[in-house]
This record gives sequence, C-alpha cells and structure tokens, in this order.
Amino acid sequence: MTVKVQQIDQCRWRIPREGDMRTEGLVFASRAMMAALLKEQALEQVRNVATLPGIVGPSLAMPDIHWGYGFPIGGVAAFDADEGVVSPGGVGYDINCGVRLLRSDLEVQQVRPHLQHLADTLFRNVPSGVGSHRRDLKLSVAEERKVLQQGARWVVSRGMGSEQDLEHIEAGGRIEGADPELLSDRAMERGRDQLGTLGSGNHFLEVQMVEEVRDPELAQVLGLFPGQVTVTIHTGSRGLGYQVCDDYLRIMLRAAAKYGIKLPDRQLCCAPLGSPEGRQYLAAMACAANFAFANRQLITAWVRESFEQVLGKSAEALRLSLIYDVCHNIAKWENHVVEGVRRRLCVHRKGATRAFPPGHPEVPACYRAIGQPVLIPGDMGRYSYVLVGTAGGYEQTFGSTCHGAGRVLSRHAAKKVARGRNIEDELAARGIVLRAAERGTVAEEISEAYKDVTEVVQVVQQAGIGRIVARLRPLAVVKG
Amino acid sequence: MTADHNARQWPAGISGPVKKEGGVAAFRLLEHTADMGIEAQAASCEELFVQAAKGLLAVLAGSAESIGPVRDIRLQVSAGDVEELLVVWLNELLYLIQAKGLWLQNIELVGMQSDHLEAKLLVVPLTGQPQREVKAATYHHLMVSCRQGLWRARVYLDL
Repeated sequence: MTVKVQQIDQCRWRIPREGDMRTEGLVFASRAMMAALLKEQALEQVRNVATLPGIVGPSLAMPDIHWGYGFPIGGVAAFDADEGVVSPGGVGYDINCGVRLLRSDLEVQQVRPHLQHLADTLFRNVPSGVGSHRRDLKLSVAEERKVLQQGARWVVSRGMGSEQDLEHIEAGGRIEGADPELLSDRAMERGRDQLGTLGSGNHFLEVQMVEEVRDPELAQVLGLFPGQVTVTIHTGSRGLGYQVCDDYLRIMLRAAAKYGIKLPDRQLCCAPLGSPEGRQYLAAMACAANFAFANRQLITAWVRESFEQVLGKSAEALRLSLIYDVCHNIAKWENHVVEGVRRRLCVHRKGATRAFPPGHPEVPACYRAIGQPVLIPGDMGRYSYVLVGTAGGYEQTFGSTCHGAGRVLSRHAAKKVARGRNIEDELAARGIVLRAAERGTVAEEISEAYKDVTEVVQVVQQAGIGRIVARLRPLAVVKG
Repeated sequence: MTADHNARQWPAGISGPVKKEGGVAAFRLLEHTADMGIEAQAASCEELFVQAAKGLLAVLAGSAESIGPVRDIRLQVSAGDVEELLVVWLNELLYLIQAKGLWLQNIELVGMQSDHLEAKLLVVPLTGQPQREVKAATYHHLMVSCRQGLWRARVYLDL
C-alpha cells in the first residue's frame, strides 16, 4: 500500500489526512531515512494510528521509526481525556522498557586494565539471557505486589539505592494508580522469577566512556566529562509486562467492538480512556511500569556491587550515581498546550522517549535549567548519545523524541551479514569487551543491523526536538 | 467452522527454507525489521495450527536441549474467532515453554472449532533455555484463511 508523503523541510514529512484518518501524520526523518521508510510498512502504521478516536495533534513518528506491530516503533500519539482511547499496542509488550545512565568519577584509564574482570563480574552478577535469575532474590506474592505498587522505591527501601536515585527517575520511579488486583495470576507468576534480570534480544548493559562532549555547559550540569566512565542499562518489565499486554489486548479486542471503534489493524485495539476497560488497562500498565523501574533499580545495585568487587572501592567513593532513567514504551497522563488551550492528554510513546524542556516541573530540580536528560542507545559496536529535552520538542511532539537507532536489518539479514565473522574478536579489536549469553543474539545485534544513531540524533537536533550533550562509546557490553 | 475468506496476498520478504511435512503442510519464517513472523499452510485447520506451533519452536531456536521424563498435557484454548484463536494458542505454548520451562516434543490437535481447540502435547522439561526470547504472538497483520481447501495463516511475533 502506498502512503503519500509531503516534505515540509529537511527533516519533517507530512502524511496528509485521507480516508479514515482523523488527523495528519508527521514524520521526523532525513531524506535518506524517508527513502528507506517508503520501502517498508512503518508509514502505513503512522497512518493507521491517525484513525484512532480522540487523537490530538498529528500521529507522530520519531527519526528512529521502523516497522512495529500496530503502532510503528518510534510512534507517539496523544489522546483527549474525554474523546480519546488507550491502546495496549501503543505501549507494547515490554511495558516501560527503558534506559538508565549511571555516571562515575572514574576515568577510562583507571578502568581499562580491569575491563575483562569487570565484564565477567557484571555478567555473573546481573542475570542475562532467556530464563536467568538471581538465586538470592526470592519474591513472595505479597512482596511482588509491593513492587508493583512502589516501583523503584521498593528496591531502595531494601537498601539498594538512595532517595537521590529516585529523584533521577522519570515519574520518581513509580507510576501512580497501579492496582495489582487487575493482573492475572499468570502475569504475577511470570514476574516473580524475572525481577532483576536483563533479558535478551536488544536489552543490554554497557560500560562506556564519554568519547565526546558536544555541549560542555550542559554536560557539566549532568556531571559528564570527557574520558569519564559511565554505565547504561536497557531493559523493561520482562514476562510480567508481556503478559499484562497480552491479557489486555484480548480485553481490548472486545472493548473496541463494544464501543464501535473501527480498527485498521487488530493490534491497535483500544478502549475509551474513561471506560472501565481503559481505566483498568492503565492501572495494570502502571503495575508493569513499576516492575520495570524496580528491575532497573535492582540491576543498578548489582552494577554498583560489581564495580566495588572489581575496583575495591565503594560505589559512593566511585560516585557511581544515577544521571537519569527514562521510559520508552509507556502511556502517560500529561498536560500539554494545544492551539493555545491547556489539555489533559494520554500520551502514548511506543519506542519513543519523553523529552521535557527546561523549566518543566516534572524535570528534576537539578536539571530543570537545562531540560530532561534523554538517553539514546546506538548499537554495541559504535556509540550512544545523551541529549536533553527542548521547548521545540514540547511544542511539536508532546515533549517526545527518539529512543534509539532503529533497526535496518531483520534478524535473519543480520545473521547473514555476520556469517563467517567473529563479532567478539571484531569488537575486541576496537577495545570493546563482549559477554553474551547467546552467540545467536550477538549476530542479530551487530552494528550493521542498526541505523547509525548519529544520523538519528542529528535529525532530532535539526528538528529542535532534542539537544545533543555527549557521545558515549562502549567499553564492555553484556548481552542476554 | 468460519474463517476469513478474503483474498489476501502473502507479504514480501519471506526468508528461510520452507519446512514441508508431506502433503501441503508447511511453515516458513517471515522477515520483519525488528521482529519475525510465521507463515503456515495445511490441508486442515488443525494441521495449520500445528504448523504455526512448529514455526514458533523454530523461532525460539530449535536446538534447545531437552531431556527428562516425557509427559502428556491436555490444553484447551478459547477465543472470539479463528484468528484470535491462533494468537492465543501460540501465546499459550510460549507460556509453557518460557514460564514453565517445558519443550514440546509432539503437538496434536484433538478437537477444533473456530473459537476453541483442544490439544494433546507431549512435553519434556527444558534443560537449557531456548536461544531466543519471544515476547508474544501479536495481532498485527494476523491472517487465517481457507481457499479451495488450503488453509493458510500468517502471524507476527514480538521479539
């Protein structure tokens, strides 16, 4: 199916309203990115999202847009509180998949001699790969309920982290309104063993160095300096989130029929935000989101433990502190000004990051002057970026930006490209230590499988929906 | 039994060898930028669902080693229609494999209607985990159809 696109400027493209669309589509992409997009189905998905009831503003796509299921990956859509809908497919299976970045006072030359040991220790201490878990973490049903209600705070209350950590997490590490009663036994069961696990696929843990500071003033506020050692954690709500999404998709299929909502793709099934089904999904989604916050907080504790074991100094002495933690699969209630009117909207971000501007009350006080930190992982062989949110993003994208590089090769194609190569050796030649639970995952996650994230963040900056602060280069990568 | 009889085209970008099992029964894996899909065909709806399940096992990466006592499991699954039934069926199998740590040695459908199925599974405990994690079977571009006696299905998985 051909999707019409009209170029607005160097990095913005309009999908004009037609057929059942209630609004237009707005895609952030370079000309080269758009040429590739026209060959796949992501633009059709932008158009499909535009047909959903109560959508406010355009159906948006960030520069890392690629073909998803239902919503495109990189999709953002805001819905009116009264007329709009909530769609589990607009959040995804991995509810509150997200990224957190830790800083340290360490410089790369202090860590490089210990890198192999550090990678081994992280690989041992942080469970990764399908079905892995820490034997010393047993969760009762009662404790799991607390995790679902309290999020990262539950982990901090057990001595693993600080109040300062919580201040540096989106929503304080806890989405309000979580109701564990709305989760199936199966969701609870799948969560119990998987708290504090990285998972597999594109989830990872990386020790990195600050390779380049683009904006020294912003970097200073974030506590970043050239040559500094940082750690990025990318994971989400694991099996619990997958089960919540699957359970509620079935409910939403019936709800969409009940409320007469026409669906261009069944994965977009949804219910009015004010309906019992819509409210229940948001309360169940909040549980999964809180589980994910707790998951990343636990992994942080084990990262700190690993650094202590290898470097023989306390995490406090190493000043291994949390810069920020962002969600990139979530639906959240937010206030936005649309055409001069302040409105309460439910903003869906499916593979997109919140990027609130300087001065926004939800940005932690220490960053309020510069905007919310935004963490954009690239791929395991090249680099990642740290950005901050901008006023331009707040106006154009409901305060959203990209979430990563975006895949360009299917897993099969990536494996084909990797065939006959030793990816571990190639990374080692570039000074990157790799520890992976599965060789197959490594082949599927090679750099060539992703867009160059530099191109993605350049479009972000050019469009004014984010400002680049620093580039990080991997030193040690742990993959599931 | 009802099914979607709309004439729909197979998507482009099919990858991997077709796994044929006598007659028309077969599955193959579909490429997707971030995820993977399964396309199956068979002479009956029952066999179609078995083929889709075999496709799922292939995506999970079939070399999962499994030893231990073999046992029978009876599984009953219901849904609103045959397409939804396919998603629910595959997600039920994913749960057995990924949450219960079981691997499927044999899959037999002993009863089937458009909104309900009953299966007899021969399962063994997994000693190692499958190589790939599949989050779920999705409803995106989901299709089950029957034309001139040939059943076909397409389902995408979130990886």
